[in-house]
Amino acid sequence: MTAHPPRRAARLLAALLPSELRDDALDDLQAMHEARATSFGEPRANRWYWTQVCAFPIRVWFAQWIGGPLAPQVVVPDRRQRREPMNAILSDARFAVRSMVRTPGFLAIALLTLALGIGANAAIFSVVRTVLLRPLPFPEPERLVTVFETRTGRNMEASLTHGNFWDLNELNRSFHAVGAISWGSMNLTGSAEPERLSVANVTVGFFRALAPTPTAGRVFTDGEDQPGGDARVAVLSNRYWRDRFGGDPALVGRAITLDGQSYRVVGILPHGTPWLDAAQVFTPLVRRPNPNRESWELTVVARLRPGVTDVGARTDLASLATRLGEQYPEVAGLGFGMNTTEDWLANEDQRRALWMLMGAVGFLLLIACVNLANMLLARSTGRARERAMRAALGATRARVVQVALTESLVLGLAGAVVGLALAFAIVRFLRSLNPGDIPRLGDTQIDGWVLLVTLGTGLFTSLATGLVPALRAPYHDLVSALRDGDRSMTGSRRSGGVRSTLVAVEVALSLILLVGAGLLVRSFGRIIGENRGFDSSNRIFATVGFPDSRDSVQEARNAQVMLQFLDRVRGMPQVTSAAAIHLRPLIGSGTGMGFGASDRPEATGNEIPWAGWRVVSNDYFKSMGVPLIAGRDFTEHDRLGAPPYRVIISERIAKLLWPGENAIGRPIQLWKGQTSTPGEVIGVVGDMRDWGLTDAPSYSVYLPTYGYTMSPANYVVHSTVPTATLVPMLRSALAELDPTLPLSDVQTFEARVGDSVASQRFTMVLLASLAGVALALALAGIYGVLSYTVSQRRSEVGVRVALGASHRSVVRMIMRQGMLPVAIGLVAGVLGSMALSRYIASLLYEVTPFDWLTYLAVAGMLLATGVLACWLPARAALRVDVLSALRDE
Amino acid sequence: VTHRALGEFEHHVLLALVRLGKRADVAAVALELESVTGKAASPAAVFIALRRLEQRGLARSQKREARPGEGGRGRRAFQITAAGTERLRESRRTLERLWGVLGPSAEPR
Repeated sequence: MTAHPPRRAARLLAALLPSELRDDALDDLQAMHEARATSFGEPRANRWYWTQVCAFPIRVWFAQWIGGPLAPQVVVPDRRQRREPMNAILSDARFAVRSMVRTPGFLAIALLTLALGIGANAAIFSVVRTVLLRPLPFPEPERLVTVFETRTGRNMEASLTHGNFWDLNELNRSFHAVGAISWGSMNLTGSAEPERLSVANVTVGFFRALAPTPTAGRVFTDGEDQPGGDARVAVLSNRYWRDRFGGDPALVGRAITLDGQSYRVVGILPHGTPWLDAAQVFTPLVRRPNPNRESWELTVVARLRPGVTDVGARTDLASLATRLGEQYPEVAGLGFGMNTTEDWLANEDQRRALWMLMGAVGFLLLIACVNLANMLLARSTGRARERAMRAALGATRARVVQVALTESLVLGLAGAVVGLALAFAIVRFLRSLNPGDIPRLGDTQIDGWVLLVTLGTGLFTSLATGLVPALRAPYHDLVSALRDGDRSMTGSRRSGGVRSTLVAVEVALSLILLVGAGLLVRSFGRIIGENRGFDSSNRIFATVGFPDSRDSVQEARNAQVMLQFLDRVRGMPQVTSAAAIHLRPLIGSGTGMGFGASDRPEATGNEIPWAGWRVVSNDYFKSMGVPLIAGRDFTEHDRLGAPPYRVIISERIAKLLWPGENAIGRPIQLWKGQTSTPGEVIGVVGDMRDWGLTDAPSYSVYLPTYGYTMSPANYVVHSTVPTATLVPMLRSALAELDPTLPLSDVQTFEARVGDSVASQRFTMVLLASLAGVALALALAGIYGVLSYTVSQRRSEVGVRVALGASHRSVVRMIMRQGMLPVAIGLVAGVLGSMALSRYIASLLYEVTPFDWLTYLAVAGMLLATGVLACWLPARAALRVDVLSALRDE
Repeated sequence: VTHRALGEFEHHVLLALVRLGKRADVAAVALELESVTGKAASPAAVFIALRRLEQRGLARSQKREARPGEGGRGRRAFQITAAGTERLRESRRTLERLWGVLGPSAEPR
């Protein structure tokens, strides 16, 4: 029984081989495979065959390219003549490849340098392109806007209230469609495990404005958002449809059970960011009979009518707002504002960070170019004789330059190919580093545009690096070049100047990158080291979603189960303390209210201060590690029934409203300017940074959960056991209470904190990596130039030593020569960093862009690098054998 | 026909053709080289070298029918030409002349 090579390998091999050699090569390899299978066994033979699949065609193609066709030529009509037109360039290219292959060390370092520069550029550009440059996934996105509410005298951009939204929807004259969206969640039951779904409620106008083309079925139609219409319909996001239902097209028309109610699936959305993948399920937002005008709840998007200008729409909105303000006293001072879609994807900080990274990779590419130019320059000096010979034999200057340029062109293209391979790896790494809050980052891929730009970068690099040595090719001074040949000392002084300049440029660019990275690292250290006001160790969050409370019976039951579950958790011996809260901290958003002291005269003209509010159970502060400064914690007698509400406030509010006085028992106005509900302060707790670590500690108002139903409820549990042990215990405790309730979004508090700074960490890690590569390139560059110079000056050193120069003085001489461009580069780099500092300033937290410590550390690091890079060749110079150096002379 | 010097590997391949006698294919040459030098020979290198030798007139080839029980369509078999033999002889003479002047004591250490 004969062994056969793996079928797929053989097919791949056949596809990769040139057709005229295919049969021969396949047969030979099959025979060798068979021999190997007999002596070493089939698996090893198969592995060997796979390596041949890669190696064999490459070697064959390469051999053909360098040395002409391998197959016997059946007909030989004068081959030379046939090739004439393309001849010059192709033969130059072939010559370039041959001469580079002969110096593999040079080739490897040059390719690596290029690939790093080009690869980093391609990778970051593909991110920038995916996140920032690709258009929104909607038709005519330039006509899309978001609409927000304002009030005279208050600096805010609020969501719309239900009442104002429906009036805007009906009365505007500028929009083709206006739609609203609000977020929630529901329980999906009817299959094995109950599941908590993110749900978006949208009006019919929402999809009409965005105008996505459904993947299957339809989106909502007229009447489905009106009272009495059929609102039990659902549209699924593409991602959820694929993940949960395997992309089954027959799902359209079927029913799913959400919060115990049956919904008919009418359509599947296309994949897309923003909006379309932001929720798992979309259901109609039904118009309420008596919509309020006090609660800002709806995010509103709109599509301008064709031909309506931005100014026209703003005028229309203003007159509409004035009319509504006159009609309804509760919205006096109402205004509407419009935003472009710029913020729909990345926010301003993220955009800035990405563009800064794009600039940083640009610098890295420049450094790589400088390095390569240096290498080519050294190489061309070494080959002065070859060029002089060409000129002497009658080549025109243009021809000599062309040969030199072809060489760097070939190098640039090869670098682009290797760089592209590297870019694939970097993009994969970036996707794994995805902080999660940069939209579309996960979709990053290398597309045609990126390929084109990479190719362009390769060409640019070739021209930039090839031109210097190409133009320096000796042409006029033929005689001396021919005579001096390889150990030319005449040309080296002039090109030495060019090389030193290049080193200075390289040092300056590296310093700029390193300063940027250093500043971000320091800033990140500040963020992490900041006093947060809470303790995140050994604590986890988990969510229990309750079905929507449709009636008071359901609502009472939800409230009861919520507290029962809390009691069970607290009863576990491993749990130190536990509490419920309606919104987790550090989620980058939250609920807010205006507030003021009711026992103080109203300060007119001032802006109403704004606080975040959260509904919490007792023990919340203990579970979060926040100190109770005065007063007491909630008990179940503090009910959220009739006002005044008993509230606990953060220390900053107490200091703002009643500076230097006892705040306990004071009356406070809640939702000031909206409902102006009265409240009474029963406790004061420590401040925490619960909006984000980079935000100042927030003004916070805490309301008791008793008499209020959280849906869903979040729990914070402080325990002595690891998460993996705790979570199953929580799950079984919940299942005992109600097996249809899902426990979801389990996350440790530490992870929550980590996620909240993931964006900053992403930028920092990237810039630091780029700066690290830049430092390595600079080290290699300085070392390369200096060791070349030293080798050129061997005989000079030999003479000096022979004439009695001390070792120290020789080292000093070489070091001085090497360090001068480094020093110049450092100064230029510091100036450059200062000039560019404003681009990074907004990304820094409590670190000025002129942070002298960073500058000092970075300059010191580069200086040390420079000393090392100079010292190694200087030491080598001392090992010069005096006699042999003199004999060369 | 160019009179470029034989590369070391080409030299080895030509010698392997002589050792194998008539009609050797890539697999046979590679195995022969492996067994004599103790180093794995790359099939691509042998494949390419044989064709270059053929182009220089030092070897010739012929497509051979597959034997019963053997997979594939039959392999291309190579054979050294008279010119190839002459070239080997010439290089051997050169080497021996160079070695001959030196005694065994001059063996490089």
